[in-house]
Amino acid sequence: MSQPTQLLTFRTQGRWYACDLLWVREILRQPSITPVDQAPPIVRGLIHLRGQILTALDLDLRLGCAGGAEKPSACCIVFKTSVELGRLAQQPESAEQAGQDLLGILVDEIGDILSQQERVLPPPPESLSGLDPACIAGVIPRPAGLVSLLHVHALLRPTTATAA
Amino acid sequence: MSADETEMLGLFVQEANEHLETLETDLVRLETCPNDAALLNRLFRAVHSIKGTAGFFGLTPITDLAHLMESVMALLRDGRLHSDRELINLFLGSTDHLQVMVAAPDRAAEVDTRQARAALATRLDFEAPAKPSAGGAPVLPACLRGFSIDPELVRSSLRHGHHLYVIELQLTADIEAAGQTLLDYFRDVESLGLLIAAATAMSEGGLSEAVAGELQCTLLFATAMEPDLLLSAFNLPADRLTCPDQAVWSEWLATQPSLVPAASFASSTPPPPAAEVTPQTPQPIMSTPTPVPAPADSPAAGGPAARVKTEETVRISVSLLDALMNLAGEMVLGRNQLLRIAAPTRGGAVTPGQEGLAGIVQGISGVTTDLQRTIMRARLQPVGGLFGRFNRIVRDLGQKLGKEIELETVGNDVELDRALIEGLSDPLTHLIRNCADHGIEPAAERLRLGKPAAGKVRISAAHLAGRVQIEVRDDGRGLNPDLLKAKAVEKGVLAADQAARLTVAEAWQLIFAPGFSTAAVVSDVSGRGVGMDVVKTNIERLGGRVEIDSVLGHGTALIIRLPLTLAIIPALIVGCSTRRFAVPQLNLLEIVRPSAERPIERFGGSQVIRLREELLPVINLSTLLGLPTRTADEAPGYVLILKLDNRRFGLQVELVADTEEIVVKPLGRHLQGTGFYSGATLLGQGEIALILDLAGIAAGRLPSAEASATRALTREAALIATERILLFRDGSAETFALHIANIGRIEKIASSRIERIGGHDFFRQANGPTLRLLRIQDHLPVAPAGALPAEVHIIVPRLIHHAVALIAEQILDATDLPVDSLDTASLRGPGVLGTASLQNRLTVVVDLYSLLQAAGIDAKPPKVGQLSSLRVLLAEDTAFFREAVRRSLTEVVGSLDIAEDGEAAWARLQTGHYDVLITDLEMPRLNGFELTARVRDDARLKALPVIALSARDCDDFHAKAKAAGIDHYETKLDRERLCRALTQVLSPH
Repeated sequence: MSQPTQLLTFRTQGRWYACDLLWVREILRQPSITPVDQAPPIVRGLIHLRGQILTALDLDLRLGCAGGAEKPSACCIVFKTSVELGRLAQQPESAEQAGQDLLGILVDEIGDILSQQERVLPPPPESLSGLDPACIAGVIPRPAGLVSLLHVHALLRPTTATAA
Repeated sequence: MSADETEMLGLFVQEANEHLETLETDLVRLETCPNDAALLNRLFRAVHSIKGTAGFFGLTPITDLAHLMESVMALLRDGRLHSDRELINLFLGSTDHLQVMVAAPDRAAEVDTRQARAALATRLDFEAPAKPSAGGAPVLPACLRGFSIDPELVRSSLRHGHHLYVIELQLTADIEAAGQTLLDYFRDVESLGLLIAAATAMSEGGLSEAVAGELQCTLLFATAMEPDLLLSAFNLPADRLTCPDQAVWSEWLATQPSLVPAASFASSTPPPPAAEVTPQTPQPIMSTPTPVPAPADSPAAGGPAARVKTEETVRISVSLLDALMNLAGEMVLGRNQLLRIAAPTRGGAVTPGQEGLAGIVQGISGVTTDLQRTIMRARLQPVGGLFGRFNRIVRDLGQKLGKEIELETVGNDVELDRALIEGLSDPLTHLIRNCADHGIEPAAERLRLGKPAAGKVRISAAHLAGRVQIEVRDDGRGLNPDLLKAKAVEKGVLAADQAARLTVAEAWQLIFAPGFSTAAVVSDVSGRGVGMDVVKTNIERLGGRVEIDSVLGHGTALIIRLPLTLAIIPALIVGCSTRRFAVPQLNLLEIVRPSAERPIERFGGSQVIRLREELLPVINLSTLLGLPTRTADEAPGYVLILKLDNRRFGLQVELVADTEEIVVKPLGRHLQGTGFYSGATLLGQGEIALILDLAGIAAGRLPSAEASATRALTREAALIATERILLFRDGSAETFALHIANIGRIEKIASSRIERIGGHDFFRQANGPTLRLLRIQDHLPVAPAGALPAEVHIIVPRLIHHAVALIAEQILDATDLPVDSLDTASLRGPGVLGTASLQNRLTVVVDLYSLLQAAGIDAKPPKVGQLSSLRVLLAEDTAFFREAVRRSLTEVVGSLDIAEDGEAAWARLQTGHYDVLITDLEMPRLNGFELTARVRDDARLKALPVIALSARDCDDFHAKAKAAGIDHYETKLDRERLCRALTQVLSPH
């Protein structure tokens, strides 16, 4: 696997994750979320982003860990759309799978950007982590603990369970 | 290829495509009017320009084919060949080839056009012997005999005022003397003019011997240059140049098959007589520019069409427009926030240091609104381009099916959002295919039924009440409800007992059922697995509705009603709990408030409300979405009465906030398919509201059958032209109605803030001029009003340059007024347009302008330079002139409505309000003189200024116009003059 050169780390529910920084469009602090009734559970709501409307997803629910929808999330990581990715000189992994809609994930805290080449271990079996294996690219051992490297394209793809 | 050339090639492709489009339409038209000279001219010109520009780029495959087409068209035009179906097929096929080649010019050579070219050549050959040159070709002068000359090149050169020279070259001596290579030399030659032919005198010894000696070469050369200049350019002595006399050419050309009418040749500048060859005093190059006359066949029919093309336009990508639209939306939100901050506090005190801020904010606000509107308009395109494509489709279908079918298109200049036009292409093609395949009977059957042999398909577009209505109508066999039902049962779409219970209209709807096709034989034409259900889904996706109307034996009409644009729709903002939702106004019939007299009742397992002796199912939005519900006692909320297809139902909400023009934003992929929302939007303060998907909400929650009486009524209402009006009351028992188009805004104010000065009421606005308030009762023949309640609404009209507003104690509703339900006879007087029975109440429809006049406010005429508030009605039957006037006036006047003949204009005058009528004089049905006479005889309209626009500039017409009461007579199409005329007739005399 070609490894991204810069990784953004973030925390939700006490666990640390990372994703390729090339996918990230911007980070919103304390976004105001409009809930959508009768929407799939992983959709936490809509966010008004300078004239555009963004669908905010619950990372925990997407990854398969229950709960987390009730407490407010501090940050929203907004990902680039297919059009925005198309303008990049360097494409992140599976950029062609991006959609035209603005999507973001809600997280509790944004961590460091890891810029040096990190050692990425293959992900452990699903039964061990309880996380959706499709979304996990690998695990980065850090002094402070393990960081799960995520596949952004898989994260954003609606699953059969979410397609209401 | 340089960037410049690439750009030029892009232009060529663009231009050629435009020509090809007209070519196709015109070819189809040629079939019905084979002798239309203007049409033939246009065809010839289109092919000719393609050939010309393709030649410029050296695209030989295109040039070759176009040249042959042009030659055959020239024969047609000169009446030496008659068009027939095969020939038109041949032309259409060739046009297809051209289309493919033009689309990818660098790969044009890969297109196999041999067959088409051979067939075209046959047509040329067939003609050739029919016109033998009498007495053999006249002998050309000796100097010209060695050439093989293309007469076309000679003709076109002469037509462009070029001189034809015969130049003798000693290849070795002359070229070597100049120190050039042969290649360079000829490149120079080509840059000076056109090399028509060349001949090399070979000595018997062959090439090698010849090269060793002297090689003599003769050129036939066409150029605009004078002989002396040419000689110095070629560096040749005078004796090497001869210029054959013009007469020699004329004589010779007369014997060659002509592709150009004689007239155009005769009008060309003759080349100078041979005598001028003798070198005279040297002249500077620039002093003798040879005028290049315009091709003689261009004026008449070609002139106007060319003029439209020359309007300056640039092409912008749609994504750029979308981005602009987004930014404008952002600006609106920012503006709203600014307005809130800048608004003075309730006491009216202005924060120190902020004086004048209100005015600036107001200015920015206006500009923002205009900006948004202008960007919106940039997205609109006339539907004519889309309709034009169907000519070919209908023709091909007719041939394939062995039926005679005529296509009529109406309303080509109606404008629609380009996204809608694209989205309509497939559904309309399908509908037209269906008309041709299922609707229209074979000619023999038609004749037996007493119908004309040729079936007719009519596609029309029209603006109706802020929406666009597109209709596909045929005069075929109509929908047979019994047949449809039987088929549905057979296909398993319905059970037999269900089918038996269907009404006629419901049976028609069966054609939209998935898996339903009625053609006994699944033909090549329709029945390709794409059913009418897909058509319906596609149209609904565009925010539109399809309705059916059919008379058995006489035809079927499919009526598509669409929003003007996908991007912005008027919507009602409602609320439940803390949520805000948008409901498209398109679906909203009325709003009722449940009360003790009109409760929401339980009926079986569902809730219903009684409305005018009819039970409508009610869906509670809070329950539906799982929101906390309030008990009915504490807040009954409101019930929106909604219309969906032919069904009506109620939607119970807690709060009705406002109507807003909302910018529709699509939902992300995670929210597709919830069945509750069709999109989202941003409200004034930046909050997000979800747009309710009424079709999704109704699906499965409402009984599909309901009282047929209701259905009949709504169906009827849907087919009648309507105008949007606002219903309100002001103290007295009467209900008043005002056209929404006349209303700028509505505000709620405290009565205590109304100040009375000199017998008039005034209201000081926080930011804006002081408004004079009118009570409608004071000026209309109705019962006088009592004292005002604590709070009243004021209705501020649009496009009036006076600060006035009407007082309304109560705003009732906004609804559609069917145009033909207006009764203008029962109640007359200044300020009254008529009466109408609306929502079971007799309503006085107010004529704002005459009301203002009655109150002593001279709302008309607008002052000079204020054309921008004018509402203009144009009556014009020629599409081209409609378009031309539209183009010259839309930017200038406030609004421009267009009627396609006098009768249509008269109908519009009955209901719409116009400041001026511009009319053509010669029109079908009702001409301009008769129209004006009617206007002058009408009590309400008699003062309406009328401007006649006519190409006929004769005294007789002028006198007749004056007699009819026409205020001003203008010969067509000069924007400046037209604007001056408008100002003139509208300023006080």
